[in-house]
Amino acid sequence: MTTTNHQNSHTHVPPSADPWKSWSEQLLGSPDAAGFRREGIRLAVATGLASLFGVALGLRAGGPGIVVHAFGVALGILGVCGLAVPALAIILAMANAPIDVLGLARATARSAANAGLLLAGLAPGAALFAVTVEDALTVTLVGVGALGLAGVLAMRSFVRELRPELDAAEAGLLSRVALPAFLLFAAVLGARIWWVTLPLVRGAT
Amino acid sequence: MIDFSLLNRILRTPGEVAARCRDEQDVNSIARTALFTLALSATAFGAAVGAWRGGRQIVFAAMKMPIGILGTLVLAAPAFYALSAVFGRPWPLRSVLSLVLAAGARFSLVLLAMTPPLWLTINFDAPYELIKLTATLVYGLAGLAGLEVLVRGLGDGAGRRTTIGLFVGVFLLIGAQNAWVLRPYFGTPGVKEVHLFTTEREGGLAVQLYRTVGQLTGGHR
Repeated sequence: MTTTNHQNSHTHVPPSADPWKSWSEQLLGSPDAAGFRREGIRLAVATGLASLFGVALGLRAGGPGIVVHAFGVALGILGVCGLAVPALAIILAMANAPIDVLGLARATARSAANAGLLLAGLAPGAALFAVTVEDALTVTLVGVGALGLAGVLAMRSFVRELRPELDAAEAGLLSRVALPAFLLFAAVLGARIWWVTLPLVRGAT
Repeated sequence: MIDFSLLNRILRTPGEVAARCRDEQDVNSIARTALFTLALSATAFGAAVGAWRGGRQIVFAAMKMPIGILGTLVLAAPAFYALSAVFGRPWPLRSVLSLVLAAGARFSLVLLAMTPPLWLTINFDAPYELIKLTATLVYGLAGLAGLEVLVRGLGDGAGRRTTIGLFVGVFLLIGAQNAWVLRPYFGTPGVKEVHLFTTEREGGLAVQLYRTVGQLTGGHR
């Protein structure tokens, strides 16, 4: 074991140490060695977690409504990852931005994981509202509020992951404009997918 | 069953208990003690609330109060786990649950302390609105006491205020809906029959809030 004479030696962690990580830390963490397979698994887990929120909303309609809402919530996340992120990758490549595909995949999967974990955490509360509230308006507000919050936190994670690399490389104008434009596009796309696929978001009883 | 020294520490040094929860120390003891304390204190508080109507309402309210509080904790704890993870504290589920239970124990101990004053208010034949207001204030006070455990548990660092703010919002929504589903606790004034659950359809929480705001502003009667 390595010993040092640092003043704050009580906080020193030996380089060889492999500390135990909680499940959520593994899901949201960003190991540099992770490859596409690892990020794919992370994205799959994220969409699975997000679909739990859909199940909770679907309990109001019951039966096929549960499947429809579970599929719809997951599709919103997959839609943004599959349609908006590749577009961003092309624009960033055109601008010669210093972000490789794996870095972008990692940022995408981590953002989805943030959204998925939050939606799964809110699912029990949403199920209470879906099952017990008499008026559909309250359920719609709860659903839209939770989906909106998840979207905002996913974007926050995405920006926190990519912004330092863009700033460090003093990226050009196109790269700087691409990120805000992507966020706007992703928000509109995600909202549109959820609007189309989730009857409760449209105010259905 | 109940570790009284732990309850003493939860009241006096919530930060120390929160740190033990975070480090996964004594979590079984914390969970067991917190659950028993919650159940007993909420039952006593519920019985006091039901004393306004008396008779069967005492039993009904004493039964429903712990179900409402424990149910809210069960439904809100996953949200706290997710929020703390997303805002930079990806702790094990066991740590988060024990932290929430410790907060619940502190909350319920304040409820227990406020039970005799509430009962005395009822005993003095105070008006229904005053008793409702007193019970609400007691709930608020207990909520602040429980919140201190969570705030200290989250420690310093970025995202603490946002985590707490969002969790309080989620907790209040779930708690209000739970309470709404399990109503009545006092019993409806003017209604002689006592029911375990209300059979009236009065709209949801949002509808009631809208009506209340409308009444206060004079736009809705």
